[in-house]
Amino acid sequence: MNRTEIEEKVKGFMVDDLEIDENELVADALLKEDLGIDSLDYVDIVVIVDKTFGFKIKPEEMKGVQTLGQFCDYIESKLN
Amino acid sequence: MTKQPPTTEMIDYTTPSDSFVGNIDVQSLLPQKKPFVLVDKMTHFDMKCVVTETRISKVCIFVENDVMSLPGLIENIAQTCAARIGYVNKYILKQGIQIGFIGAIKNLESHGKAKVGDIVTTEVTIIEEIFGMVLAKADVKCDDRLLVSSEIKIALREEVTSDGAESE
Repeated sequence: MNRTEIEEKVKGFMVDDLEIDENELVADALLKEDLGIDSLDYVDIVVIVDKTFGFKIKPEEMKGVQTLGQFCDYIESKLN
Repeated sequence: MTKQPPTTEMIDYTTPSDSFVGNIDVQSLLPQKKPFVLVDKMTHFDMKCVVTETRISKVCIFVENDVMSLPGLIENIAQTCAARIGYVNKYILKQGIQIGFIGAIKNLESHGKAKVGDIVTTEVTIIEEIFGMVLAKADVKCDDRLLVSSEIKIALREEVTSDGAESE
């Protein structure tokens, strides 16, 4: 899966499942402050990422992930 | 009189028998106290699934006109989750009770109601447990008739109370 496909899938579930406005989904958007993703959403993200990308997010690996771009970086690193 | 579980020697608490969990005083697993307890007993436990049974009581605060309200059934689901968390803390992690809060209810479907005297069976299946959150799918049935299905998200407070396991 290439970077573009990863970004499309991430944006897809953020719009469909987390109901985030597609226009806000830019690479440097902060997950918490800009996109409004809170701790309640993270458990959904874990389930969706597992279903979509086939791996389970580990909490300790998410500590440095603050922006949407970094989140896609993280997924890309796990897939490659 | 408080019910006591049978002899606990050599029990694998992660896969207990239904008779073992059925003899546990469910109130010892819950942070809620009467009259807010909406679960009578646990009938099954494994690490992915817990089942409780509850007879709908006329004096239940969620009963109106002899019918359990939908919020009452949702609270029953939440307390089934709480009973699971309480069991894990008491029997597996050997610690006190953790307080949990309903974080979200999703995909709630109400198909029927429970009346006073009905025994509802609530099955909660864990979908994910991470970041101090529990995401679970729940079905509430009465005589195999599906009353409510839902997903529920429970946020757990980190601190663990020292009481609870032996509380009244």
